[in-house]
Amino acid sequence: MTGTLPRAITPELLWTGGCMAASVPGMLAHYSCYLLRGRQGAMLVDTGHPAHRDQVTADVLAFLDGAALTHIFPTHGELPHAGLLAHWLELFPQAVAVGDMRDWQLYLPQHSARFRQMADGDAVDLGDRRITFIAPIWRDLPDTLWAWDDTSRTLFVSDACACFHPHAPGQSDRFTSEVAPPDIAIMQDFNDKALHWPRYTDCRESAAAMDRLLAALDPAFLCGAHGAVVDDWRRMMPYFKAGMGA
Amino acid sequence: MSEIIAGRLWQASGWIDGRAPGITWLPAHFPGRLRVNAYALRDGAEWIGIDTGLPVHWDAIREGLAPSLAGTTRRRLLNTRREQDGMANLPAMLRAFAITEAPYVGVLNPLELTGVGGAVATPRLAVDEILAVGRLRIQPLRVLLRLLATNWFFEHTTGTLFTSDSFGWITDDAAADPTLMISAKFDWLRGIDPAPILADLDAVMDRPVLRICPGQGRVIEGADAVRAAHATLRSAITRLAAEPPARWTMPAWIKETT
Repeated sequence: MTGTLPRAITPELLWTGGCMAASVPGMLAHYSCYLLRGRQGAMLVDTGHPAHRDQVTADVLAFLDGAALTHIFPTHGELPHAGLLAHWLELFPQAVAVGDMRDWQLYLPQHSARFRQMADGDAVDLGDRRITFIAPIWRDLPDTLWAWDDTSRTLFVSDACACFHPHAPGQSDRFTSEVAPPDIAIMQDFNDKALHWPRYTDCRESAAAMDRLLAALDPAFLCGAHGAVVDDWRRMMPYFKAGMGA
Repeated sequence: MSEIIAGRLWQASGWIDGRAPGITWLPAHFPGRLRVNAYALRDGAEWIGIDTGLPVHWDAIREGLAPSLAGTTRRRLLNTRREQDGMANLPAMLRAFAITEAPYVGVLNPLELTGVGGAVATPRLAVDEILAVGRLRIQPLRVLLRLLATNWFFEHTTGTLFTSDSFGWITDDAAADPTLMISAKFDWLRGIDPAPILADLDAVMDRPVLRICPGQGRVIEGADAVRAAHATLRSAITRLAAEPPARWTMPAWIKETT
């Protein structure tokens, strides 16, 4: 570990992106994306924040090591998650964009032929790993999808399970087991700003749905866009649920 | 292009056909053609754009707003949301219109979100801080009827309220069901106590609003029409809140543990 991204979560799963100042003074927020390598392709989960384009591009190219990026999965259309989609499609002319792509004909009409609509239960096969799309439990924009990689047992959860981390240097690449637990008040602040609706909804049912899903999948990792990679979900879920007000 | 107030306020639009394949932030079907809008205000040499419309409509947006620029020397751009239907044309608009400032409210810098470099200034505004554009006075308002961070803008001189992704149920051909229209994006309203949302909406609307300029749909013109639209939106929120929330179901391909 170097204290900064990128970090290889597994030999075939890269965590990259960058951190930016958060709404809470002295805190940083991750803007993460992930790269899965398979025998017959590679998928980028979220595109990276446009402000981090150069670093994310360098990290992805290094990890691909000459292989092609075949699939780009924006978890939803919000620009911190999807703002580099055109960049990746232009860099890899054979790649396709996958996910809930219904709106993208409006945003990138010039690339419409390369969009592949996915729904809950659809999957992408990269040869030695299969990535299946899941309807989200906690999300903001309605075009959000989560995804499950069966080989690494990773659940990609987009905006869910988000938390900030202290400004201290050397913490951007830590898993949750390697750092102190998140501050619940700060998580609630983030959720209030990003998700908004937890303030007005009863999140107990959705929290119970999360419990069921995680018990069924038993992921090794929860990989979200805004926070440390979760490698100990049983310990962390009470914090995330408290952050949602459940 | 529509000149809503001669020499002062312009609207440029592209259209989404309600019969077209689904857009996630709109209901599956709605009557007619729905505008997706960009607006411009000017006073003297000062010009400000509000939202950018969609890339698929860029030619219409550019051609629609270009006449409003004549004789202006200070050009700025505001966005009501950091979502693509409101700001995806930002890089193109900055270049085409020689915009030199993109003020923003909140945390996320719009230029960073779109990867735009160059010499465009991005002063940060506080909520409720008045932005002067010549003699015009634009006030950012934070609203609870939102998904992501959203600013409505109230221009005091003209009495114009820019409402982003709300008040957008009037297509060019008919009025869609307002409850249906807000349900696509604000589905979190289902099953909640709507009182805080309604109270916040009432507080925002407790202003001398003479017109509503939504990010989608037709302009709502006149104090009477504004009052009626406010009442309609209140009813829609109340009706949607009375519906049960959607429930997540375990995908069939996942074997649930007992």
